[in-house]
Amino acid sequence: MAQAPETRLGAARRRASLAKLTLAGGAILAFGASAALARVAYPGHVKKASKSLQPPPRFMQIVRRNQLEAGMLAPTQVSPETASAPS
Amino acid sequence: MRPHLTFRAMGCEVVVAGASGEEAARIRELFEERDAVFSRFRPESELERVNSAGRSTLVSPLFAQAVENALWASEVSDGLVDPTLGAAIEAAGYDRDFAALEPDARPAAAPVPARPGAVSLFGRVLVLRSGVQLDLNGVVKAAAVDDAVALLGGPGFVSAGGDLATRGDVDVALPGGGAVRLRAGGLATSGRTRRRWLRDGEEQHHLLDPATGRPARGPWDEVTVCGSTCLAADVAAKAAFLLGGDGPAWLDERGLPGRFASTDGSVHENRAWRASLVAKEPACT
Repeated sequence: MAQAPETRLGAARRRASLAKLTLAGGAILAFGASAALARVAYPGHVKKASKSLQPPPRFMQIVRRNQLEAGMLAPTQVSPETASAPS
Repeated sequence: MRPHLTFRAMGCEVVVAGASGEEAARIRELFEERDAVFSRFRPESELERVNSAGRSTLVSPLFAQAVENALWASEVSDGLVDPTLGAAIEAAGYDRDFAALEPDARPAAAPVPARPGAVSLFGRVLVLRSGVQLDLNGVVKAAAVDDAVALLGGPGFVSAGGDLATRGDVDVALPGGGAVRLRAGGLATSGRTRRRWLRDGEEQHHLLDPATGRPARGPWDEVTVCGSTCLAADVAAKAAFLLGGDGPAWLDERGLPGRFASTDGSVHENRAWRASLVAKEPACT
């Protein structure tokens, strides 16, 4: 059986649904692009892994070890005022 | 210099020189506070509370600072000065105030080696592994001397049982004879000639080998070290004593002057000690 020729109403419906699809696709693309741009440009978003502000542990270890340092001695000049002894 | 003030705290005699009346009172208060917090022999002390609580405990800022000092001491002494020897010192028989210790016919209990890494501090939260008993008195007394000397408004010194820190020059007599002028920092002597006792006829003392938990044996009776603080001097003196024959070289590697009185009565000075006592020629002008 031969297909009936498209009526004017049918053609209008087809054009309308195509237009809706185009608009919906465009809106989705626009939303995605805006979201991506916002993520890149917004200053509150972390863009790379955060780093500790503490000095590196190896550096701290060296600093702590350097705290074991000498005082100042000199030859005695008067009779001792006190004594060092095991406690 | 103002007259000396003498009092007893933390199981030893404290001597303060150069303090005003108010400074002397604050220094005395400081030592009494440390004694109350860190005594192993006062059931109400914070140390006893922490040791009996086990695992994790919220401690006072003062206690946290002492633990931090103890962990630092362990780190810089390569684990020789260890805060986890509380059970070991009790096993050796030092389980009451030293003045109350008497010769005991019973043998020392089984030794308890140190447990490196068994103490962690997160701010004021102290975490101990199960069964660990802290003994912080080694570092607490030296740190108290440093804190006390910081309270002096002018020249003077503070000595606790012979460990001292100074503000200005002070001439100090040394174990086994001789004297030295301490110009800055602290001077501490560690040894086995004073704090020792008998268990089953065997001599015990308070300087424990962390590997065995037993009193250390070695060639030295007393080791005196000069450090930038009394705490640094005390930690280095203990470590050098425990290292035995390697003590002088260990101190030299760190530039610390050390003087070793040996069991045969001779005195050995390391290179840094000898170098620091060479009289400096005045600079040309």
